[in-house]
Amino acid sequence: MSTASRTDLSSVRNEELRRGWTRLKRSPLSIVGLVIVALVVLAAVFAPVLAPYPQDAGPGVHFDRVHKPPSLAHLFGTDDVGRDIFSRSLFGARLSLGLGMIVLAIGMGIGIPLGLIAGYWGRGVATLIMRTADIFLAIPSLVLALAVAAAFKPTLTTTMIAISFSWWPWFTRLVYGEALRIKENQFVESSRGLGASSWRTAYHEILPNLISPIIVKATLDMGFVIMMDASLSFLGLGAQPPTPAWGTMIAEGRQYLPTIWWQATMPGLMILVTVMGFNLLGDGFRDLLDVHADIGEG
Amino acid sequence: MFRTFLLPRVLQMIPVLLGLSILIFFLSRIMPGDPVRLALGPEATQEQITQYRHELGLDLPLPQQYSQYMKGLLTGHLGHSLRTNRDVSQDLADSFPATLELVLAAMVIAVGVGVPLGVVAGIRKDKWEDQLTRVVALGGIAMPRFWLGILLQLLFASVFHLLPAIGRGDIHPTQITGLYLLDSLLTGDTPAFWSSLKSILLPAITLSLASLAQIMRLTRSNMIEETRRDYILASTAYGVPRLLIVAKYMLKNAFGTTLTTIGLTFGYLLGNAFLVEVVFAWPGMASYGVEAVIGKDFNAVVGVTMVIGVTFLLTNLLVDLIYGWLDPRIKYS
Amino acid sequence: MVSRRKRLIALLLGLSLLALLTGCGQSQPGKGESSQKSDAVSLTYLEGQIITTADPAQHTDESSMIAVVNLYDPLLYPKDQEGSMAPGPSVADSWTPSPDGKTYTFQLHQGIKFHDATELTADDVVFSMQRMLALKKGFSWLWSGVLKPENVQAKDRYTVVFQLDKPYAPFLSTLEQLFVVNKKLVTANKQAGNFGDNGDYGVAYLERHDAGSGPYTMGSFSKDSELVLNKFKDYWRGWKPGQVDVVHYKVVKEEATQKTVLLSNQADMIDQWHSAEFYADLKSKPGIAVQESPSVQLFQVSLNTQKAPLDDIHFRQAVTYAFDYDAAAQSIFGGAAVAQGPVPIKTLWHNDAIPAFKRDLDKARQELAQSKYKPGQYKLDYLYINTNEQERQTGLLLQQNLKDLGIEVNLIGQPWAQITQAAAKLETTPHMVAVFDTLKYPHPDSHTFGIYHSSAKGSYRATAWLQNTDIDKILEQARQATDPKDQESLYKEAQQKIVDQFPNLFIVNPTHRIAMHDYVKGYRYVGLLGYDVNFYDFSIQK
Repeated sequence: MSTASRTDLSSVRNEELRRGWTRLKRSPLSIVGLVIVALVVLAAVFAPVLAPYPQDAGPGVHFDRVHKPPSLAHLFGTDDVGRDIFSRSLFGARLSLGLGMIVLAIGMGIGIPLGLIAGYWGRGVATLIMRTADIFLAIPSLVLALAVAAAFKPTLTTTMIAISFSWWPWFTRLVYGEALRIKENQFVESSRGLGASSWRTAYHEILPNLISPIIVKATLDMGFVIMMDASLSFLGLGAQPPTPAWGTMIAEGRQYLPTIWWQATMPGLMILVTVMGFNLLGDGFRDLLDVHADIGEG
Repeated sequence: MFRTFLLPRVLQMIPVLLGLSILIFFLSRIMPGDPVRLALGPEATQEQITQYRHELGLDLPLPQQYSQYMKGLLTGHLGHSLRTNRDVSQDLADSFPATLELVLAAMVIAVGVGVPLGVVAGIRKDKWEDQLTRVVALGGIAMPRFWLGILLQLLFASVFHLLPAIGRGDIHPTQITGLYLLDSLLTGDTPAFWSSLKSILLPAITLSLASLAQIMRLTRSNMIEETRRDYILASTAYGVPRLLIVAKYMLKNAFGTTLTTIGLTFGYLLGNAFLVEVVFAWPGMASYGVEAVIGKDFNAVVGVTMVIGVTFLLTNLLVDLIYGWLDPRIKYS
Repeated sequence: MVSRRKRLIALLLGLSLLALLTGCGQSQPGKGESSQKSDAVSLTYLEGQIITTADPAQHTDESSMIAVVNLYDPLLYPKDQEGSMAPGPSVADSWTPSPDGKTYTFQLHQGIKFHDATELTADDVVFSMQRMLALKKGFSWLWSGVLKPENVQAKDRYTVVFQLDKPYAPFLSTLEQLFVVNKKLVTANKQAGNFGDNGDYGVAYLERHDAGSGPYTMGSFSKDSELVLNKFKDYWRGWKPGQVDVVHYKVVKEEATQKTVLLSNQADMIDQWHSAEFYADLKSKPGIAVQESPSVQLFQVSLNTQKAPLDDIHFRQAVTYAFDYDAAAQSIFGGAAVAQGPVPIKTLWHNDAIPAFKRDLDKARQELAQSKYKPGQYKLDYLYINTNEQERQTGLLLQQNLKDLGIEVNLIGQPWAQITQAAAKLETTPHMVAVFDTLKYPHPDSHTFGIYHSSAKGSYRATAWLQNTDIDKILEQARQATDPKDQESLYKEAQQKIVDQFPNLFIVNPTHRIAMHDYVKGYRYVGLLGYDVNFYDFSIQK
């Protein structure tokens, strides 16, 4: 019975995917999101090839071309020490995406198992885990991130760890809620009836059903992580110079607004477009995978 | 309801708050940085530093410092702030209302605009209205907040001279709650009301945008889900006017789920309002807290975190209560 | 079902009412704008950091110094009218040092009124100094080693005598940091505290009140946002028309916001310390005046003389000659004087014989060849305040310059609190620290003894960790010399000896800049922390 129901499920799933794709195609915004994300990923991967002045991502100053407005030679203009903002923006994509992926990986690595454990095993464990999650949620994420960033040398690694610390409870909450819901569903009951172990059930039955909401949340969260990094940079706790990071670039350029508008605006636009791309794509996934979970605020 | 729902919930808050206080207390003290040296100035002698550390009890072992802190807490003292040179509780009494007012105003905007937009986008899914609202709202999420704040300031204060760029207004009402808008309404002080309102507009809008988009998005997907429900399909088939269906059934059901997000958002904004506060020189608690972290003013860090933590937990409780009040089917268990 | 709907409607109605309220506001801007404006001349000044205190025994930084200068009178005031920082008369009219340089007798100006109308007398001066020494905060370090509380005495109503333990060359100039508090008022408002009969020495009271005789009285004071100063009508130096009646001394931390607020006419003047480019931009705006003067600041990068590879003087020289001082002065500081040694050029007894350094890559390579370390052996850490643009740019330049020698530099930006802590111990001090040094008292002692004497170690100013008994001895002799001629030659000798050790990259004495609307008149650069923003000097001429 169990095998039969699973094949049924997978064929239903394929059918759903096919229908989802049709839905996705009908929504031009999701396609836009997909294209943006693809472009940013490409920019990140091929930054050394695409950047007209790749050396500007490293150490060095060019006082002979400080604050040149956007032109063909410098698409986004140059910054306060004469570096090409376009080149730095391309390298910045590497950093933002890398940062986002690592934070989410750590956040999910801690958050999902804890959520599963809480959702599937008894009340005591659940209370302990969920109340701990509450503690971490109750600390303003930036205070937590700042404290961790301040506690170690302010390197990129610390920033990442710091942000992950405030991220995992969101995944725990999501997984916990979903797991509770799914647990009530019949197929879990049935496999349990057949004597499947708790771990097996969690792994084979609950986890697959969690994939959709997790994908949606992860996509949307990429945007939030990028924003969070920008906020930390604003306080001078982001990447150390000369590493090109979007948030740091805005922070460094803001005092020259509005006259030298390009130094802060260009990296700002990069963030705007990228975060928008991830959000549109996330919404697209949500429609595609038919997720109705409350993803929550990240 | 009190005994089965409220009491356990409130009791559960106690270990959470205790855990929170321990975590943040130790975190704030092991952070590097020397606030004593900072407070005494770069030329301070070692003797000065030693004496001040002793006065503040910083030469005691950490667990002892914690127990002293908790003792102080019971009498309403949150410890001495090295940055502002007075008790943290006084600082918080000054700055909390400002942040609260800002966050409330931002919530009003986020809900007042986000829910209607979400409804429109939801019932006109994949039509141009949907696309437009989504792009505009997502623009709000995707714009770095401090950057947006600076741009709004340039536009409305510097170019058009319409609104003040900083502060809470020139005319202050008589203090009752510390929320200037509310106080000026209560005292019937019209000039103070307009002055406060004009000052809060830019920061509140800046702060609200990300949550606005969040709320819009959630309302939209809830509306979409509702559209597919049997009763809607049936009523449509029976020829019940569309507007009535939307207003009467769908919105009501959709709003319930949105409420949870609103609650979470409130706590989130409270802690993350600092960038907006810094840009608009809003004398609030969020920027106070961040300055404290940067200056390693540990008592202030603990104080701010505890206030935000309590508010966060209370809001969640309140949301659950309203949720149940709206939907009596939910059992408090 | 029915009740559910009603509840929902009630809730939605409430929310929409609130939304409507906000909406109304948007449609009617400008109302309530013309609130009662009196004829009082007012001035709004924006400050970039929190005003930590207005207590004249606790201030250390610029913002609190400005508050104190406006609320209190110092015993001696810089002779700023003559363009000098040297101590001139203020509360004290005249003074006579004893031949052994240990006893100073001051005659006070008669008829100075505190804000509560009591007269300022010798008792108040004695009380102020004793309070300073007892609290051990603020500028007490200036006197803690040379003056005992009981050795400050009132000889009569208008005569004060200071009996020093030993001669102390900069003593008169340090008195520009002794502000006189109203003994009667402070004593009347004391609370329980650690100082015996003096209770808390009025510390709690002076947090929110003033007890001064200065040109302004304290209006409202909220440390994180605003200090309102009101003109004190009976100020002893008198008032002229056009001077400022009400000052709004506001805290606005964000640089970009400060600029916007100034340009949108919501402020008359903003604080100093912005980058050269910031001012270049403001200069181009109509109606904005940027005042420029050569400063007595020193921007330097310390080289940790006790950490490998910088413990080798040849390596330090290599770094010193590799740095491009002219590029820094021109491109980062917008045209500034390259520093000549540890004491700012415009300061009393600066040793003009010390040349400005220049980039000389050949010399740098020669020195490096003589060093026991190889260039690639160590990465050098450069620590700077993470919100300071000029320190960051200097770091980037240094990174590029040292790359030419094959030396790698690591930039580490951190907040203030961490830097002061890192500087407290030798082990935690990185190779290089960027330091802006401002004069706290107008004397070469501030930039020599205050940085290079062994007793200064642990402060972020002394991150070179120079250990040199020769220099220690000369500085001690200089402090204790009684003849100004001897003092001068000793301080000059010390400067040369310091430079010979290459403990710092002496980069620039930056040009001082400050921006205001062009109708604000009377601003004078003094050089001594905070004294230039005495609002009494300003007038509005529209």
